[in-house]
Amino acid sequence: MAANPAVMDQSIESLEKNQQWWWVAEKKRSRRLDYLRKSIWKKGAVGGLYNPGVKVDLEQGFLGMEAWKANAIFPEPENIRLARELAHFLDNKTIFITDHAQLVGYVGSLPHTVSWDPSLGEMLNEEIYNDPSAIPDPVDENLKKVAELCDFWAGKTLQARIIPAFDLEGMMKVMSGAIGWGLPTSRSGYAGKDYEYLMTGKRGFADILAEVEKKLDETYDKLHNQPPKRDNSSLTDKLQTWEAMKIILEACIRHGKRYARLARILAENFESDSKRKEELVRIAETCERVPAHAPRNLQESLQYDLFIQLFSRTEAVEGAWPSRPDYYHWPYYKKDVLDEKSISEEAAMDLVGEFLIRAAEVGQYKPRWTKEGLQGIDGTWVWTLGGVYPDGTDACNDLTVAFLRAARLVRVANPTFAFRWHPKVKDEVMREVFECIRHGLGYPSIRNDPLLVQNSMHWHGHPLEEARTWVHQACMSPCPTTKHGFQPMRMASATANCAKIVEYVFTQGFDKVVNMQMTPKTPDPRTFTDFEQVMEAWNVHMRSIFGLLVSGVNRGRSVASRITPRPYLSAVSERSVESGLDVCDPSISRGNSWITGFTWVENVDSLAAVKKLVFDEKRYTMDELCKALDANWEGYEQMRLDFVRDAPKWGNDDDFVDNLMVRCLQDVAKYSRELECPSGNSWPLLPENVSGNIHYANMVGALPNGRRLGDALYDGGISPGPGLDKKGPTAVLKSCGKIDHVGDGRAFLLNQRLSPSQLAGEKGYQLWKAYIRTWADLGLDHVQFNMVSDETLRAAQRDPEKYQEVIVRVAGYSAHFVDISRKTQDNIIQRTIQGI
Amino acid sequence: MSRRDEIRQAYSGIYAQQAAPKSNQKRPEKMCGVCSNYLEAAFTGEGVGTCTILKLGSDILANPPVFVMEGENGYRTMNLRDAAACPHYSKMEFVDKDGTECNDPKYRRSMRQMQDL
Repeated sequence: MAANPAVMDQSIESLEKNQQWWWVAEKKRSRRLDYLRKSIWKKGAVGGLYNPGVKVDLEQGFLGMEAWKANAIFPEPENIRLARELAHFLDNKTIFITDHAQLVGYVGSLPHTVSWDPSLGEMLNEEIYNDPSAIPDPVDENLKKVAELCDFWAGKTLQARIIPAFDLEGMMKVMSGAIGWGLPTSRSGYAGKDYEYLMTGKRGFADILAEVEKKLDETYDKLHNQPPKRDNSSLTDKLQTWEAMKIILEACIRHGKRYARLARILAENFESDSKRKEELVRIAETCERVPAHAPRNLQESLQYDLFIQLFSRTEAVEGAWPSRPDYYHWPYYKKDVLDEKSISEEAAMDLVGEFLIRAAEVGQYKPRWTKEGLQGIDGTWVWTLGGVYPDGTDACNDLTVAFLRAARLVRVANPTFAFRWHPKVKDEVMREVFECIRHGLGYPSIRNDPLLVQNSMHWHGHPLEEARTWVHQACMSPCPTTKHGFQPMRMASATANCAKIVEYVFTQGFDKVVNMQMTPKTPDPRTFTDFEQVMEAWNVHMRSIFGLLVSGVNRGRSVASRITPRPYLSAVSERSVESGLDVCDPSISRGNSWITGFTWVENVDSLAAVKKLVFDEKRYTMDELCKALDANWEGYEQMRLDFVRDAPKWGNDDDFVDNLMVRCLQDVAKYSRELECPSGNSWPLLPENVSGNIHYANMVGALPNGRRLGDALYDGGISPGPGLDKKGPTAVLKSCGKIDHVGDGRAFLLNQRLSPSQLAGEKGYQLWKAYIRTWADLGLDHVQFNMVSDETLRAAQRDPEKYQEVIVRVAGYSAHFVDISRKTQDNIIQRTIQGI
Repeated sequence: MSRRDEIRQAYSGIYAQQAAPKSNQKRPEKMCGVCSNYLEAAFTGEGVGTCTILKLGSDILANPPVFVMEGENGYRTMNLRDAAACPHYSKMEFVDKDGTECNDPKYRRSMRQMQDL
């Protein structure tokens, strides 16, 4: 966005007073950060489309095709074939270094592209072919290239191999898009990383390579020079897995060196500015060092981390970025900035800010459910800050503060932060957290660390010290970063559109939007004479939907090693390097599964309305309610208003409805213990939304809470319906506090809007701090805030060009307000602003 | 037909179109995507959906076409599937092409091939 001269003439104090934080950031940040921030393309989709100018990248498809053809002469196991394909891509893809950049690497071949790997699925390829705006210019010529790629990969993709391995009926239900989203494959979803193995300064890729080569030699010796044993067959599999790791590790090291060479060529031949020349030489030195070897300084450490992430995104479509940057980069920050003083705080801030920007520019072409369900961002990159060391002592440090300050300067919507709050966090850190929220970033979200550590132990049996390493695997769910604790791929298809549960009570499991019998045919609701019959039917549909989604993911995980292996992710995971098994093999993982529960609270408000108005007060019959819902409330407006106004709503400290919330969660929690992941662990529920509430608005029929088909669903987690929490913030917290945030589920998202004017100045901070104290005392695990006024948001709707940098909290993530659909914008404005 | 066969047939019909050479793709004059009895899925933008009249087991491309009117589940079809042989084809009045909003199975068809309708 071009600087507005009239605004830029104003003093920082004046801009701060007017809470125009985006202009404050622009005035405060360094010239380098300003350039880098403005030079990146926004990769999040607005509704179903990418922003103008963002185009799909064709390079990976064509290089993959070359590799496939070369490999076809001598077909190899899938992990080795894939490793060769990825290696060919890394060796030949176009690379670039942005002016003023100190960190390098991108998933695509040009900064305005979103990457596309057509070997993943015909479904996605077809979507790209159909996309009205993402085909690169010249469109006619490139459409032919897209068609060529689609034609070549048809029948050879991961989709072609994996779908026949599933229960087809279950897959058809998932792919209807009504009850969940995502495909259960290890090459699409949210990949955790074994940071304790990778990021503790003990090794780089060359060191891992040496370990792998040793394993290869030992195994070769066993197979060739020793008497055959009954496990020889599995030894051959292991040999191939290590071979695939070797291929990809070598390619990653070569890829780093390609950047080093490019930086040197630029420095020696094209750069006249001596300072920039020095920077380019430093980039070259950095990429000669990492990823091959363990980093020695902050720049190398950040570059190493960035490479690790980008390589993973070459291998898979990743919708999350589990990370704990202040923890793992801290030793280098401390050494460079505090101990040796080899770089200034300002120079470190440039690196930290650029690290956020480099992450913000990453974009991979995503299918409709992601484009609509994660509007404005490429994925939920919730970086974890704060927390404790494995021994329980405070892990917050100067780099925690640096990241929080950098976020206010660069104001990217992705990544966002989640802060692991615990009672020992120092006030100076809490103030920095608050400043980010006050500046309208919508992040960090606040997580109750002691409670979530306990929750990790309760549900998945992670040992205390491991549980304390946790990062956000996606928006919300904690996952350790340890050898057996980290989850290699959280498959997105364990995401349930929960409003369907209560909808199906009234349709007997038939989905009228997609014309399918989704769940068992429960009794005709008109025959119900007691609320317990409603609950019985509700439980049938809940169990059926969750069971369907979980069994799909379990199957995907079980066949992953064979059908969709991850040679790169395996190569950077201790348990795979050690065992020779693919990282997704359930036998080497403790398990950290959860069911994401979108559109959850609609169930509770609907059930409360049925209980009160039909069974307790007998104002309406089930027959009348069924007719009204069948008619989408048309012709029943007075009745609909009664169900909206006269039924108690969640979030008002009203036991009538709050008890139903607890009951439903406990029913699910009981079922979660019956559900098993392939590692033998349980599947707790995690109610949250991204912008799934808007994506699903046209998919969920009329509900007894008064909602009509097409109306936006609630904004998710355990957040009360927009505008329905009428008794103030304490009542919201007290309702939420009735839930056992350890035993009733994995985590519970709570959105709150606060008044920016009320929270100005020192008084504002003290009010917020008191609110957080209450939140912690009541035992909640999560809260996140929007602190942008209605006035600003409405002005941004009227005049989006002037408000390009306004950020809002959507649900488990933040987005620039102008980058989300109108319906999502309206939904955010409708949320109640709580005075505290 | 067994339940699995029925589902397999439905998936195969969709997959065959996904995997068919794009160079052969044509936009039929009458197609499911502009029929008022068609609901487009919101899962991906590949242009898959269901018919609200025909049931699973139908095949409007077969010769002769198969029209199954009884059953639990709707016929899975696609935006660009030729509906010339379908007696239930009923052209919708309006197709909403706003790609910056979320899918509406009933009205929104934001795919490139339908932008000029």
